[in-house]
Amino acid sequence: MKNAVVFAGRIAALFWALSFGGASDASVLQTKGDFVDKFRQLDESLPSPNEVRTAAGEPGPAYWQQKVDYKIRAKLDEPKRRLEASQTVTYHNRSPYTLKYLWLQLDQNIFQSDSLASRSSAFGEIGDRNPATRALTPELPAGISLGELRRQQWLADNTVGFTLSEPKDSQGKALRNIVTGTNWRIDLNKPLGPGESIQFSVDFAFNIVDEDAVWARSGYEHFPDDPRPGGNDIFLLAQWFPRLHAFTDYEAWTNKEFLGRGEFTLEFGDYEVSLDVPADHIVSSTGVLGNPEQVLSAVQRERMQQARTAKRPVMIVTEAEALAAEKQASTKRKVWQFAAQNVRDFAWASSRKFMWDAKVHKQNDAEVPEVWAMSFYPKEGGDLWKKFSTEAVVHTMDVYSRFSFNYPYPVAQSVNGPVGGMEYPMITFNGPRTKLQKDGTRTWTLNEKRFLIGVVIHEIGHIYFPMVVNSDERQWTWMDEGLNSFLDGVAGREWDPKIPWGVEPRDIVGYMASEIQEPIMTQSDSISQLGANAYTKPAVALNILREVILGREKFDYAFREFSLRWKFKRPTPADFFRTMEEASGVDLDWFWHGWFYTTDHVDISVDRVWKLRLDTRNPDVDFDRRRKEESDKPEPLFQAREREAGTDTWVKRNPDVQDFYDKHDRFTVTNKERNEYRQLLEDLKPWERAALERAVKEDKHYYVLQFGNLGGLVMPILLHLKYADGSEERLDIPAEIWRRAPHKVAKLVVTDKELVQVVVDPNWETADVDVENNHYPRRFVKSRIESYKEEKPTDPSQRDIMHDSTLKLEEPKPGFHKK
Amino acid sequence: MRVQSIGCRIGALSLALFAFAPDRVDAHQLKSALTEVQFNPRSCAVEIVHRFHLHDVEQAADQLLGRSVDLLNDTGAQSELAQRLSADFALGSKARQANSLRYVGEEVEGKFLWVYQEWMPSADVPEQLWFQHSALQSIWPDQENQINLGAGSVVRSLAFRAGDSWKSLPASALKLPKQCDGGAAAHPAPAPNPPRNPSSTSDE
Repeated sequence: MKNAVVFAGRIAALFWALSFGGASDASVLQTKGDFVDKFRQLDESLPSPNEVRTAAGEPGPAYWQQKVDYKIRAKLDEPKRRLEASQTVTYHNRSPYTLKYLWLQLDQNIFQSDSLASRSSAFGEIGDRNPATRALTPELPAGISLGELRRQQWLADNTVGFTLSEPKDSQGKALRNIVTGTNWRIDLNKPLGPGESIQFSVDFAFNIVDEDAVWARSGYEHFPDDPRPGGNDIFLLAQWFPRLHAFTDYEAWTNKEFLGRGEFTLEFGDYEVSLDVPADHIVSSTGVLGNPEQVLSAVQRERMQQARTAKRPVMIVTEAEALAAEKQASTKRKVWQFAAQNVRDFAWASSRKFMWDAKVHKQNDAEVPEVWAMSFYPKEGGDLWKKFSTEAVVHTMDVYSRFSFNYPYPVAQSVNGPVGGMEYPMITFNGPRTKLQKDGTRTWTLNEKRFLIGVVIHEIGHIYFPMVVNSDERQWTWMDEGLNSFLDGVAGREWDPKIPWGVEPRDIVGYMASEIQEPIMTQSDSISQLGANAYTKPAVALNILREVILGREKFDYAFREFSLRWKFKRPTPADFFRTMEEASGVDLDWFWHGWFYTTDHVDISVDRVWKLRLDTRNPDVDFDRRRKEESDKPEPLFQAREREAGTDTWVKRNPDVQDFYDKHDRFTVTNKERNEYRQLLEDLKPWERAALERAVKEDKHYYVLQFGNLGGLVMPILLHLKYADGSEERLDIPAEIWRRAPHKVAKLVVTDKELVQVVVDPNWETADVDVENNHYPRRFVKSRIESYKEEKPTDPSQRDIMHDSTLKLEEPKPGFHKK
Repeated sequence: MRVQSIGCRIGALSLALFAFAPDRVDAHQLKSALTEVQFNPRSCAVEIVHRFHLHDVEQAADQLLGRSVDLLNDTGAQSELAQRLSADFALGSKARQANSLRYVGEEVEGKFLWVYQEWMPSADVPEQLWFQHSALQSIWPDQENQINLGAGSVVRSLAFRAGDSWKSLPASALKLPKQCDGGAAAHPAPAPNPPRNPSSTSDE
């Protein structure tokens, strides 16, 4: 079967394999009782392993992926804010299949009024990326935001989308083609067989969108207040050329149309790009600059030499130079040439507003020993960027390389522009800025500083996931955002643990308990709250997997193994799940199922605790114990009242009438019981007798703890036990305890000491939504508001010092106690 | 700043402008807030806990307060902002009528601005509870505000997006008693909480 998929080489065989993806096997049903198999093996839900993607979750011996190389010449028309370009594409068919056509992505077409995104955006809808609209309700008229009006007006006033020439093959013969929304099919003049390559070229142009008006992932930002008449712009160019859709072993052409949220699924390849821009622009781009002599001054090149060994970033273009450039525009042009190998995309930025700093990050790597960490920003980014952007780039590489692989490219850049945060190979766009004060200075808040460092770490982190570990973003946002949010939490806390980075299990509890959510394994465009679903929840899950379930050693090894296996390759969710299991040596199917395939939450309660004591079978001991148990019971109320009233009983009043039973109670031991006990000991096998004797001698406490699973999601039970002597103990019960009893389960705890308190998950490590039922005996857990009310008076900032400091010093009033 | 009332008629459909978009939008914001509404039998109050991402509110603060503020270091601005945000939340025990809520306070903890309100329910328990939650939606219309009604494993939820009107849920999710005497004396003392911001004590 495995071989059939790979070597038959027919499309029919491929689709046969695909039909096994998707939902779990619905033919296996529990039709009696309420048993739910939380530990059912996940293979039913995962695609069948094959020679391309193995059961271990690694690329198999028949693994293949396409390669697409681009040569692009582009010209930025600044006054018209228009890009005109021509590109030659070389498509290498490394699949075992013959292709009759190629599918490309025309992302600029998403802005057109007839795009699927435009036509399918619902009025007043939750979850879309555009400015808001409000549906008609009984109380309020339908509404539209000024932002949406601005967007519609801008789109009405401007022609958007790609203008394309007819594509031609390398002989200059036209290629039949059809544009459908953001997708473009080019029919080949001759089928492209396995191992063959084809070259075609096309000219294209488009009007760059106003990022602030259209809410895109790229575009221009206009600065009308700059000294230059008419102002200046920052241009961020991404999704700017017709890019090949990925052709994969698991989905063939991944041609799900761009709806705006599900990002990109792309092929690796080599790029040679020349960018023709106004001569006073500074360009930051994917790739390595090939002609510094032509575009940089001798002084700038000298500064780059200094940056090679500098401890802190060196200004390649200084603030003064950038401010001077802002004042006027050159009429001359310069062509910047960049080359990039083995990248899945290409983006760039251009502006005369940019200052530029650089520093070299050295790593222990034979292929890439030095990485240029660089930042480009206008005066609006200012000193905030000078201090922290490039340093954050370097810190990210330090941390991420430890968890995955050395940074594999020669350049890593952070560019300030209108986009809040977006990632591309070797280049990221990041939004945080300074505030201009009335006195002309620029300041920033502590929060803005945190945003800058946080967003740079996050976006540079994306150069690892998904730019190198090339997951399918269009389908699965969590695969890059979840993994990256988990790691940016680690990198952030390693920068400064005082800053509340990272994702704590508590952060996701409200989402996981709520009715408004989808499983993580949901296609990106169908998710209602992408932040909670695809960023926070998977990051919390990985954090719990690392800190609670696997431990750091096993987790870090498996995570790194996943990264190494899929470096410069295309993993699917199944490859991640399988690798993490296989490399850690721990069956995690229950964990993936609960956290990624369901909307269950964690709520484990401790419902009852029974105390038990082993009978010795020795009647002289056991009867005495039972006598004591009886006397420890509370006195019946009747008896107590009679006693208090001084009523004498008949027995007390008639002491002369007594028999045997008045002197011997019902717990009196006779030789009958003693003989039975001696016979019992005699009949025991030697090992049975030894076991009994030892148990009697040790006389341990036996406790049965009963737990309920109210949330559905099975998790380890992390127990904190407190004993009468004041000592405490942590006891972790693995999740597997739920395997046969998913709703209620009991655990025996045998101890020398008397147990006085049991707490489940005392440190809130498992995202348990209800911590009140985690205590036995039950304890109320203070609500946030109760805690707040208690803490408030101790916070000195609550004092009204402005008022209090106006008070006069007074003589104390006479005290209560007279002297 | 809110222009809910500025309307213009297009045919039969009244189309109101309801928001200003800011000049710059930071795509790294989460633009989501969570409000938990739970009954506390010890205080007999319905406690309303709003959780806003600092990422979001910091960007909105200048615009909402009309001046440049440093939110983390300015408790006055925190308080002012928190009260502005809480004013955009409404809870009603009758259809589309806001009850009067008590403002308790606010604090910055972890990555969040927490805002606290209370409502003292009367003896006659309503069947439905009505909600509105438009906080931050006048700043960026894709802000999503979620309400979780009730505690523990049985929670009912509502999501509010810009322009949403009142929505209701069965009040039964709150488990309001017919009578509440506080009963604090009858209950054991509250357990000590673990640190509420575990990241601050994390050894990572």
